[in-house]
Amino acid sequence: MKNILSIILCALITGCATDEYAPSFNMTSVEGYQPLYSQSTDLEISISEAIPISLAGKIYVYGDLLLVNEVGQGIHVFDNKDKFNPQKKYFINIPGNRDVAIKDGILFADSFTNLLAIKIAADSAFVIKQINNVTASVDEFPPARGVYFECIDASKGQIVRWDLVTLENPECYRP
Amino acid sequence: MLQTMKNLVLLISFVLLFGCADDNDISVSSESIGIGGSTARFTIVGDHLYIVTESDMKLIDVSDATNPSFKSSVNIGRDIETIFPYKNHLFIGSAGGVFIYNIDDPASPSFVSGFSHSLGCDPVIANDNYAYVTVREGTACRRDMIESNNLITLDISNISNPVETSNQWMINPRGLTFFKGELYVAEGASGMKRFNLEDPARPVLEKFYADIPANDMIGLDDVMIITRDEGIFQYGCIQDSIQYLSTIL
Repeated sequence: MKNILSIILCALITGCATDEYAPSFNMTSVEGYQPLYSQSTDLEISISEAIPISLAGKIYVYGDLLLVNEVGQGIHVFDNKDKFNPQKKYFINIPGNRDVAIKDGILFADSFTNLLAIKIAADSAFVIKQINNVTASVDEFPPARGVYFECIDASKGQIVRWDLVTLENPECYRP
Repeated sequence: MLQTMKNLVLLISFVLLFGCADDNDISVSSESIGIGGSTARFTIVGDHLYIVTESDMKLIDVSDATNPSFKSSVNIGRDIETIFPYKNHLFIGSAGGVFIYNIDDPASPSFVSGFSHSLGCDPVIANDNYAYVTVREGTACRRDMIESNNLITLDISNISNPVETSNQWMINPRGLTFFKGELYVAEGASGMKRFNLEDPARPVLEKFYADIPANDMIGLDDVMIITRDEGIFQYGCIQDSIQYLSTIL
């Protein structure tokens, strides 16, 4: 009953983002998705100073280390020996990264649809092996339906993620 | 004296040099493999890294981690999202249901059974006799007209025939984990729920932490690591109550 009611309500109000719903493109300011592009699509990885988390993705625990994916951008590495006071160590820049796993000290990470085996030593990270086309691809469209988004501009690079922001006069909509 | 000084300098530079290398090195921990959350697309079991793409499971031989090699690709289905290992099985979550594969022969996973549910995102975790699945309507997932946000419990004591024993309404569930013998389910911005598993076939909601938004979590022996969009939050369990430990932003 509740479901039926919500369907009717939904249909009346928004059309429930069904195909019949035609969005208005005269929105001055509206919440929607903005693509974040990677300037380089070459698989250049590097280590940099720790940076703040912007959009936390998946997490991975390896001994006292805690790894946190920065969606589409790389991996934050923390020393989590003291759970009351975890320490930031560094950030591994990996374009198009969303997943990670570790075995015997070697980090396996995706970069777009490619798998990288990465060795971390001192202040450098280097790819010791690359296997192409074995990981999931990045969302081509916003990760939601019935939403406005900033139209994709392929000249800006490859999309690594979608951020929910306030858009001004968006010209694209995902039904 | 001079010799002592020289030795000291040597010792210090040695420590500095070593300390530096040691600092960033992802040293081999006592366990050779780490632990991921319920929404992972990567999992390592023994000598294999299993990766799920939208439709396939890719097998990578990592017996020598420094020289991984692609072994094979297994077609699973549509809209695959997560992979979770438990003993000799892999539990694969898709937008349309759960697929269970046996890895007695790790290089050649074999399909055991599947369970279909209404469309939605659905990480899955399991123990000896039960699997717990969340189904989340909307967002990136395909969706039905009928809202489906549920926590589903499957009896997998007969692994070749999973049977639903409980189906509970949820708000917008995401990842899930076991912690201190109980089941925790992330409800996104709405919070986190703790379920009592005294009857593992029918989890009973014990507490709803509306003040702890959660996307996914990893429950370890003494700490639960929770992710939400803006950062990481860690909680311990002291005298049967959840205690805040730390935040990483």
